[in-house]
Amino acid sequence: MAAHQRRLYAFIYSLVQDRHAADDVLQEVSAVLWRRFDEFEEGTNFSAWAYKVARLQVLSWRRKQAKLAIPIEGDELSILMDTAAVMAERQDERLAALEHCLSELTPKQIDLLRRRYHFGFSANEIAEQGNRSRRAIYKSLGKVNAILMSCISSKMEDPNYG
Amino acid sequence: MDNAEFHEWLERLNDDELSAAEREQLMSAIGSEQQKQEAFLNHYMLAAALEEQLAIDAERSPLNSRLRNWKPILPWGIAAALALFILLSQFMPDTPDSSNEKTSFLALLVNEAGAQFSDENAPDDIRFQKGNYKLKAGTIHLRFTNGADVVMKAPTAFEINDGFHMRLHHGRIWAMAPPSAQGFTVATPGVDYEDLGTEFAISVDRHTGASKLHVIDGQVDARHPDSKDLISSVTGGQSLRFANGKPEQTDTPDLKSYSTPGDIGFLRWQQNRAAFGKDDPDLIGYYPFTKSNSLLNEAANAITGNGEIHGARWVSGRWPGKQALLFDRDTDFVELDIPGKYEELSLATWVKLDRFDHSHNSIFNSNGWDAGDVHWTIHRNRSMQIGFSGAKISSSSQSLKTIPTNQWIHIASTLSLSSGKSCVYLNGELAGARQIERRSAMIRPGSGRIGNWLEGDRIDQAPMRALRGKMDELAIWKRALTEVEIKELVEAGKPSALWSIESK
Repeated sequence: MAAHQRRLYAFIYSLVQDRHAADDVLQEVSAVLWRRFDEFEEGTNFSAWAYKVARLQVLSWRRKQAKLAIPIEGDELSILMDTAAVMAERQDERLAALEHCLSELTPKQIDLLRRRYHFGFSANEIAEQGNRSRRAIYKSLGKVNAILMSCISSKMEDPNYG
Repeated sequence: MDNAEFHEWLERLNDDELSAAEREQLMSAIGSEQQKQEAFLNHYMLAAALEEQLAIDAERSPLNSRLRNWKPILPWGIAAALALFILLSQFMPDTPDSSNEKTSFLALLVNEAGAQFSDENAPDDIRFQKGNYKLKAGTIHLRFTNGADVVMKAPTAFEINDGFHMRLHHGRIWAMAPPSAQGFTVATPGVDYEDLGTEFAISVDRHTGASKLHVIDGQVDARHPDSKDLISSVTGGQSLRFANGKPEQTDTPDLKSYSTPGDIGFLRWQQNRAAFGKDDPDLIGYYPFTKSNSLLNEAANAITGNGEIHGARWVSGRWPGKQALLFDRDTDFVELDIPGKYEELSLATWVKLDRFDHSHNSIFNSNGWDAGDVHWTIHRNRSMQIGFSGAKISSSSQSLKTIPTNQWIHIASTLSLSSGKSCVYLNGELAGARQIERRSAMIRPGSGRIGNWLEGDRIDQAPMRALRGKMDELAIWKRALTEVEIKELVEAGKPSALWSIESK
C-alpha cells in the first residue's frame, strides 16, 4: 500500500468506523483525486488537498447513513477530523511499531486478532468457533487492544525509535 | 472506564452490540475528554494497521509460523489439556508432596481403543502414577513425561516405576523414545533393556518370562538388572532373545503382532464409523470409502447418491487396512450427485495429495458452473477455496497458501448464506474465510465430480482440474459446521497420536 493511501485509509477508517465503508470511501477519494488532479496547484501541499477531498467524502458518506456509530456533527466533527488528520500522518510509524508489538503477544492473542481483523469475524462467530462466550471474546479483544495501544504509543514517543 | 474496557466497548460498538444507554455513555466520554477522543480514533487506526500487518504476515508465512508454534507430536482434544499437564510435570519435584499427589503422574494416556484395565489398579482417568497395571482389553498409547511413547495391546501387565523406568511383566509393547528420553529402560525378567534414542519392540512370555527385543531403529543395550553389566548392544534391524538367564540369537519376530500408534487410530476409526453422524439429521452424505464397485453412502439420512467410480483405483488409506481411492490420471474421478437446494453446506475429507498438476485441482466440483454449483478446489499455489456460482465472493481475505503434500491431511469447507461466510479449514484450523456478498442465491451443487471437473459447454481458462492423490473418507452436511465440530472430526480420524503436520 502506498504511504499516502495508507494514511488516507487510516483517516477515513477512524471516521467511518467500518472496514468495508472505509474501502468504499477510499476508492471514491482516489477517483476524485485522479479526476480532478488538474485542479491541484503544483507547489501546494498534496497531502493537505487529499485530506480535504477525504473530509468531503466522509461527510457525504455520513449524510447517507441512517444511523451513525458516533452521531456528532458541526464543529465537534470538524475538530475530530482535524485530530484524525494529524494522527493519520503517523500511520507508517504506527504500522512499524505494531510489527514489533505483535511479537509480544501470545499465539492465542495473535489468533484472536487474525479472526477479528484479518478474517473479519464478529465476536459471536469467534465465540462459536472456539467454544467460548461472547463476553470473553470482547474482554480479550479489549485487553489485546490496550496492550498494543500502550506498546505502540511508547514506541512512537521514543525519539530513538524508527 | 479503563483502557481495556474502553476498547472492549468499541469492539462491541463495531458489532452493533451496545445498548442505547451504553452508546450514550461512550459518546459523552468521547465528547468530553480529549484523551478519549484520541484513543477512539487510535482504535480504528490500529485496526487499519492490524488489517495490513496481518495480511502481510499471512502472505509471508502462510500458516507456517503458527505451525511452528505447535508441539509437533501433541494431539488435540483431550491432549490439549495434556500439554499443560506435561508442562506442569516438568516443574514438579521428583517426590511430590501429598498436596499435589493427585495431579502428579508419570505417564499419560494419549490414545486408546477399547481399553479396559483390571479393577485393582486402573489409571486415574488419563494419568498413570507409580504402580502395577493390567490391560485386560483394547490397545493403549502411553506417553511418559520424558517424551517416550509406548503402545501396547491386551493382554499386558506392566509396572511404572518412575518417568524413566517401566517393567514389562508379560505382553507386547512397541516403544519410541526421542532424545529427551534417552536412558528410558524397560525391565523384564532377568534383563533390562535400556534405550539409547530409538524405536523398538519387546515381548515377554507370560509363562516362561523369556523376552524378545527387536530394534527397529537406533540402539538398545541389554543389561544385567543388578550389576548393570552390558549383556549385548542391539542395533537397528537386529533382534535378541533372552531366556533362562542367557541371551540367544533369534529371528526377527513377527512385528505385525505388535500394536503401533497407527493401529489405535485405525481401531478408533472403525469403532467410530458405525456411529458417525448417526444422530445428526444434517449429515446427508457419509462415504467411509470401503472397497466396492461404487462409492457407498452410509449416512443414516442420506440425500446424496452413491458415487460412480471412473478410473480411480482402490489403494491403501490412512492405515494399512483402510481403503482409499487413488486419483492419478486425468480420467480418474468419482461422479457424485448432491441434489437439493441449501442455505448451508459443509464438506470434509481426508486426503493425501501427491502434487498439483493444474492451476485448479478439484476436491469436488459441480459439473459446469451454473447457478448454485459448488466448486471446492486447491490452487497450484496451494491455497484452498470453496465457492458457489451466484455468490459474489469477496477475495479480500486470502486463504492460506500451503496445503501440504505427501501426508494425510484433513480438509473441510463450509458455505453459509445466513452468516455470509465461506470458510476453509486445514486439520481443524481455520485457514481462510471469505465473505459471500450476494446472499439471495442458493447453493445447489447437483451432479459433480470428486477429483475432477466436467467443463460442460463452458469455456474456462482452467478446464483441467484432475486431482493427484488419495482420498479415504468424505462427509457432507446441510449446515455449516463450527470449527469445534471440525476439530472433533480431525481428532476422531487422525492417523495416530503421533500424527502432526509437517509443513514445508
